[in-house]
Amino acid sequence: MRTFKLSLRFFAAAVKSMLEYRLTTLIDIFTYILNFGVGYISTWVLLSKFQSIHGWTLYEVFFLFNINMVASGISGLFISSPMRGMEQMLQNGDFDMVLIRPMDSLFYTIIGRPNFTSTSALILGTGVFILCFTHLAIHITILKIVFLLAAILGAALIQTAILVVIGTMSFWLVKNTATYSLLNCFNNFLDYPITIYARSIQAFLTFVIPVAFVNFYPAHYFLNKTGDNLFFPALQYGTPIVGLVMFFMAYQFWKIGVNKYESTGS
Amino acid sequence: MKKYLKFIQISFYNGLAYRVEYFVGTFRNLVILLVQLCVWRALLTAGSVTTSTGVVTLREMNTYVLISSMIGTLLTVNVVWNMTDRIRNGQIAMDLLKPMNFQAYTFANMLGQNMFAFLFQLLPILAVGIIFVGMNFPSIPNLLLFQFTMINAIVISFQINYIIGLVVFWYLRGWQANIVWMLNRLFSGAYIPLWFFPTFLVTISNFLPFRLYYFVPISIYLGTLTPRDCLYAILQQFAWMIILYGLTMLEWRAAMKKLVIQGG
Repeated sequence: MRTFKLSLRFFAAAVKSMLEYRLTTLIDIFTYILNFGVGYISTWVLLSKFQSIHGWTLYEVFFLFNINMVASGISGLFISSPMRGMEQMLQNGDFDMVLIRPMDSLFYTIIGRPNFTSTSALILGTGVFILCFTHLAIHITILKIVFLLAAILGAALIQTAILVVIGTMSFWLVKNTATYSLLNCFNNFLDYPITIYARSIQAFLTFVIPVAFVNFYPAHYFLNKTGDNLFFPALQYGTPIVGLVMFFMAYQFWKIGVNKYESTGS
Repeated sequence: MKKYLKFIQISFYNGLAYRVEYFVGTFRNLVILLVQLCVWRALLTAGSVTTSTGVVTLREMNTYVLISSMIGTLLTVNVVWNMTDRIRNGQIAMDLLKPMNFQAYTFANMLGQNMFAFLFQLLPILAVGIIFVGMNFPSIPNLLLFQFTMINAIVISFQINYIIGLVVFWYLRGWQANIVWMLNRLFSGAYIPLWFFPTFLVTISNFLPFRLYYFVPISIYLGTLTPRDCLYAILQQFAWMIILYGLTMLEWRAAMKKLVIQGG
C-alpha cells in the first residue's frame, strides 16, 4: 500500500514536470504517432496488394502488430528511459542515491522517470484495437477480454524484462547502446506472424528469447486461428506466465548486478 | 581539398572506435534482412507476382531487398545526430572559426563513415546475398548507371539530412528528423517497391525526392526502367540536388543570423 501511494506521488511529480514542457511533449507524441503510423500504412499497402500473409488478413496482422505496440508502449512509458539511462547513472555516481533509499533498488530506479512520448504508442494502439474489433468478425466474450488484458500485461512484462536485462548489463559494460540494439533487434521478427520464418527461428523466438509470446501466441488464440503448426497448442495461453517468469528472472539478474556494483566514488 | 580528404580519413578511423556498435549494427541489418526475405517468400507463394510494371519473380524481389539493405548501410548515417550534437553543445563555434566550409566538412565526415559502413556493413550483406540467398546481377551498362545514380543518391540523402540538422538552430530538439524519416521510410521504396503502391501514393512519391535514392537506383539495377525513364530519373536527381543545395544555402544564411551559442 505504501509502495502504491509512493508510486502515485512520484508519477504525479513527473507529470507536473512534464507539463512544464507540454508543447514539446505534445509535438514529440504527435511525431511518434505519425512515425508508428507508417508501420501500419506499409502493412496496409502490402496486404491490399497480396490479401493475406500465411493466412493472416490485414486486420489480423494489425491486431498482431498492435499487441506489441501497446505492450511496448506500457514498458516504454515506465521502464525504458531509466533502464537506458543506467549507464549514465552508474558513470556519474547517481546510483549511490538509489542504494541509500529505504526501498527496493529496481523500484526506486524505475519509478518517477516515465517517458511520456511512449503514450503515443498507447494512443495509437487503442485506436487501432477499436478499428480491428469493428472489422474482425470474432465473437468477443468476457473471458476473451480478460485474457487479452492479461496477455497485454504479460507482453509488457516480457518487454520490461528485456529492458531490465539491458539496463543491468551496464553494471558490467561501460556502454549499453550495443546491448540495447542487440536485444531489441529480435523485436523486428514480431511485425508478422512468426509462421513465415523457418521452424528453427520459430523455436528460437519461442524457447530461447521468447518474444513470440508478446504478440503471436496471444493473437493466435484471440483470433481463433487454426492451421498454423504450433509446437504445443497450450503455448497460446502462455503469455501471462512467461511474462511473470521472465520478469522474475530479470529481477534476479538485476540483484546480481546491484551486488556487484562498486561506486565510482565521486 | 586536401584537408577534406584528411577529414574523411579521420572519420574513417573514428569508426574503428565504435567497432562493437558496427558489428551489432551489421547483425541487426542481417536480422531485418532475414525478416524481409521471409515476408516476400510468404507473400509470393506462387513464385512471382504481376505488378504495374510487369511480372516480378521471387529472385528479383530478393535482389531488391538485398540491394535496398546495402543502400541502407550507406544512407543511414549519423549526419543529423552529429550536427545536432555539435550545435547543442556549442562545438559549432569552434567549427566556424576554422578555415573550412561547414557543409563540406559534414559531408567529408559522412564519407568517412560511409567507407567504414561499406567495408563492415555492406560487404557482409553482399556476401550473405551471394552465398545464401542468390541474387541477380545487372548488365554492364545498367551497373554503371546504377553506380552513377547511387553517387547522386548519397549526395541527395546527405542534403536532406543536412537540412534537417540545421533546423536545430531554431528548435533545439532533434525530433524533427522523425517526420522526414517517416516520409522517407514509406516513399523511398526502401521496404516496399513503389510498383506495389496504390496510384495516389505513387503520385505523391513522384513529387518527393525520397524515391530517387532507393527505388530509382534499384530499378536501374534490376533493369526495369526503360532508357528514357533512366535519363528522366537522372535529370530529376540533378534537379533535386540543385533545389536542395539552394535550400541549404538559404537555411545556412538564416541560421548564421540566428546563431546562439549555449553557455559560451
